[in-house]
Parts: sequence; structure tokens; C-alpha cells
Amino acid sequence: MGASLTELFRREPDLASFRRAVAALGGDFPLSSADMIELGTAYFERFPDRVHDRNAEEVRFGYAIVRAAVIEKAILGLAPERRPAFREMLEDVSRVGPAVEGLLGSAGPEMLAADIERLSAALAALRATIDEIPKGMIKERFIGGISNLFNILYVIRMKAPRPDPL
Amino acid sequence: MADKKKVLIIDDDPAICESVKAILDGSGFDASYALSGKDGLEAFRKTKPDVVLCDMMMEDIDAGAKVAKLMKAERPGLPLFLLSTIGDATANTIGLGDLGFSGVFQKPVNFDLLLAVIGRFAKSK
Repeated sequence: MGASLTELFRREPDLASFRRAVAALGGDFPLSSADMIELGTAYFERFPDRVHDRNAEEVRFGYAIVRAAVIEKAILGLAPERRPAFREMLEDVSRVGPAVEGLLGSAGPEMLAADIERLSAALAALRATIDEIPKGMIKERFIGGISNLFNILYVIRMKAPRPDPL
Repeated sequence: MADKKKVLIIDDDPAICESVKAILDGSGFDASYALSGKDGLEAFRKTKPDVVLCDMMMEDIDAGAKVAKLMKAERPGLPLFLLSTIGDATANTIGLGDLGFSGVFQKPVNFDLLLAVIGRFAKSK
């Protein structure tokens, strides 16, 4: 196993460098509910939450670090050559159309459909791990973070043609 | 061309707004979004949406409830749904109806259900 996400979070000064450091691990990092809580605790130490006049940038930073971690774990079960296209889509919904077109051309509709099911199962497993986190703001950031990935998965399904029945 | 029903999304996370908008636009709605309760209220008055989907925690931890109350006061029949990370049990105990919400969709949202529900509300207007 590589470095923990909390170590990376404490070491990297901004979101872009954190994302790069996480992506460089190629999914080789622990992400149990205990790891999530540890990362969330470090995040709230740096950005304490407030009841009023909350800092939107800090809240979005929280969602973004969750997404950076969850995306790398979610695409781990896909063939290495197709991971960049899925990473691109999960980071930016506007990339879904072009990326799906690209995958249809390079891998075909059956492979794309199989990848979508693998991604769906991986996200569901990560969601189940998040559900183990006790109720509170750390869990809120993780649910808010992974929710957008489920939304994008829905958009990918909308754009991908259904494979022909046998 | 059929008249598309307008949906306003209010959430402080632009990524969520963009993805929900992509789903709604791709499903035949005309979606727009605002990134705070304050901007959401302004967009509500300007665009007169058929349905509103609103997050709870934005600039204040209860910004969604404050905005919902104001919108419902101006348009009591407005279909207004909470998009929330709070659990079902919590949603049941905080009295969503009293806050002005017609219902709640837990994140991650089940969009098959959401599209069916808001389609029904938009049609009955």
C-alpha cells in the first residue's frame, strides 16, 4: 500500500497537487471507513465548519478531495487503458459525451456497457463503506462527494447506447 | 415544440448543479441553477420555475429551509423538493412539510424516482 490519503492531504498545499498525488498512487491506498474518518478529521482541522456564513470554497474543497480519492478507487477495476476516459468523465460531466463517443469507437458498446456495470458496482461498494461513518459533518462531505459521481454515472448511462439483445 | 417544464436547482456545489442539470436537460426539462440560497431566491423570482430542487446546507447550515419558507410564502403551490445528505430518519423528524418542502430526495439521488415525481408534479400544475 502507498501513502495514506491523510498523509497526502497534510503534505500537499492545494487541491491540484493533492489530486496529482492521489492519481499517482493508481488506487493503491487504503480507503476503509476509518481512513475516511481520519481524512475528514484532518480536513476539518484545516477548515473548521461553521453554522453561519460558511465558506463555500472550503466546503467544495472537501467534496473535491473526496471525489479525487473515490474516483481512483472506483476506476481500479477497469482496464488501465480505459481508466483515463472514465476519470475524465467523473471529474467533469461536460466530458461525458465526447468520452463515451471515444470509448464506443475504441472499445465498442459491449465493453462500454460492461465497464459501466463495473463502475456502478465499485461506487456502490464505496457508498456502503461511507455508510459505516457515524452521522456528522465528515459523513456529509463523503456523501456529498460521492453523490456527484452517481449523478455522472447516470449521465453516462443516458449517453451510452444499450447493447443489442442476443 | 412542446413547452419544457422549468426546474431550478439550488445547491452550493457547482459540480452537483452541473450533473443534475445534465440529467434534467437530457430528460426533457429546462434546468437552471443557482449556487446559494440568496441567488436561488433571485432566480426563483426571475425565472418562475415549475419545480425547485434545493439543498439544505449552503451559506448557512439551514439556508435551504430559509429559502423554502420565502418561496412557499410567495407561491404556496410550488413543488419544492429538498436534495439532502441527511438520513431518512432525520428527514422524518425535522418536519419537512412545516419547512415548506413537498418531499425529500436523499443524496445520492435516485434519478429514476426523481424524474417520475417531478414529472408528475410539473404536469399537474
